[in-house]
Amino acid sequence: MKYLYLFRTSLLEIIEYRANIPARSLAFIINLSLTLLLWLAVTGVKGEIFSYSRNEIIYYFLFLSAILPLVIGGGDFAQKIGSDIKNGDLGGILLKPVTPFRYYLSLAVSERIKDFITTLPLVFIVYLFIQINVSLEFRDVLILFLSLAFTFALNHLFMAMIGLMGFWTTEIGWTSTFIVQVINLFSGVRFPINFYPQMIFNLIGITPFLYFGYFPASIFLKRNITNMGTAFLVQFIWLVTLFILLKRIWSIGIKRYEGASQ
Amino acid sequence: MKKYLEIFWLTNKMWFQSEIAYRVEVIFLFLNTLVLIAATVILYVLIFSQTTTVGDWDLTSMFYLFAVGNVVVSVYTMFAWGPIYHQFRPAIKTGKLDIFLLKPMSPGFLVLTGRFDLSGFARFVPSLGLLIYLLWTSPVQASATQIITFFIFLLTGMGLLYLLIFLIYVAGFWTTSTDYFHHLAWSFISATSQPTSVFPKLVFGIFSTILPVAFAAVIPVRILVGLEPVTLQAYVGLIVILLFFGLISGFAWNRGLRRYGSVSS
Repeated sequence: MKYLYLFRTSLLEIIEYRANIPARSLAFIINLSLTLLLWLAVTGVKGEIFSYSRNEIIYYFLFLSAILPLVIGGGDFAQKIGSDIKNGDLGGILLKPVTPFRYYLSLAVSERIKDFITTLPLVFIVYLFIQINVSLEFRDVLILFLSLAFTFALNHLFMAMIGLMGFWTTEIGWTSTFIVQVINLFSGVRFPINFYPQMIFNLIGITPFLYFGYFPASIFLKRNITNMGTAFLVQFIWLVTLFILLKRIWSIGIKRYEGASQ
Repeated sequence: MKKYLEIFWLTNKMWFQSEIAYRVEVIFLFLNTLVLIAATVILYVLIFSQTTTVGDWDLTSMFYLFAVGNVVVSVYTMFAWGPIYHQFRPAIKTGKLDIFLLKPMSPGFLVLTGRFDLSGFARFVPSLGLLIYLLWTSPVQASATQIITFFIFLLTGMGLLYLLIFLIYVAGFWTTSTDYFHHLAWSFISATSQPTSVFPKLVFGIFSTILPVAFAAVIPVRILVGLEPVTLQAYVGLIVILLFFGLISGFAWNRGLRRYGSVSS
């Protein structure tokens, strides 16, 4: 119940200053429009780029814009943990009758829902103009949801690990931003990673980054993913590995931690 | 004038020193910028491996646009973003604007300058490097008129970008918080180096008039690489837009000051 209250408080924060909502929504519309218009221009003459038709590339970025806010934490989540360590606020969290893991999880869920609420109506407006024509069967929807759940867990575990660097460094702002940019380059957020030469694409395939954008988007587009079972197994292995690593880093870091927060 | 230059130099120097305090962070800031630039370069190379032109832009002119756009944005970030975002925005909200208003200097100058942003510098170095590399390897064949017009449009475009972002944050006089307005501001700033001229006419029209970010890089680069002729109409349009934004900014600032109240000092 207490985590629900944390969740609720976090949600209320966004509607406190109402002028921010249209500003954020307008920014989202502009960014999305610029991306879509650029790809429309790129596919203009031939009607396709690499193996993507014009519609597919538009749906790809529309899917990432609509769904990723629900599952991807980005640098903000890492920086929240890092700044809590730096400012001494972690001391306050440790003294509360909550477990830090669940505390940050509830914050993450509320943040993602906040982002989703802001972006989804706008994506719907864009959808009305574009008329998406992707028919997903029930099985595809289930696989997509499972994939998104994995993406959420993998991404937040990874970002939490970056945040925990705060135990050893004074500032993690640009460090975490740098790592997020590298991830973006290899996750398919900037462009589908099968644009890369095959060798680089294969290398990316063994990292967890593939699952931060490209993999769920490919499921949505019903693009041919060879060996879906192996892909989910790799995700699961990464999930367990990152969880163990996170617990280990936390237990080492917390021994170093000193705070004087109230 | 000398006093203003001295204050500009001293405040920016102070902030520069403050920004480089965390050395590891500075390294990652530069690495971050390199990744961002590399990402776009990779994207353009991949796109142009599949097509020869996007609209009427070829790979070289796209790189010119990207390099010039990034130089513009980096200069803007270095000297204008910091004062507007870190100084002007919180000053309205916290009531500290009157500290600037009561000093025996132009309050506009004090609050809107003197907050150097290192991230702009980190972006400026590789962007300028890319531009020099382009001029070295693929020099543009431009006439003196084209070059002069390029610089006139570029500098005016930077001024327009500045006024546009200032207008976003001047809204702080009427709203309680502008904390998330940076999303909006950066969506305009990032449009600077996008080839907006290949978008539908209505969209390009918007970016050349009511949100005139196209003047900061797209139009000057098109003139430089010969995709756009130098015409009297273009100059007239530029002057009209600049006058409009200058007047509306001055009006908004004065109206905002009339509304402003504080007891901080």
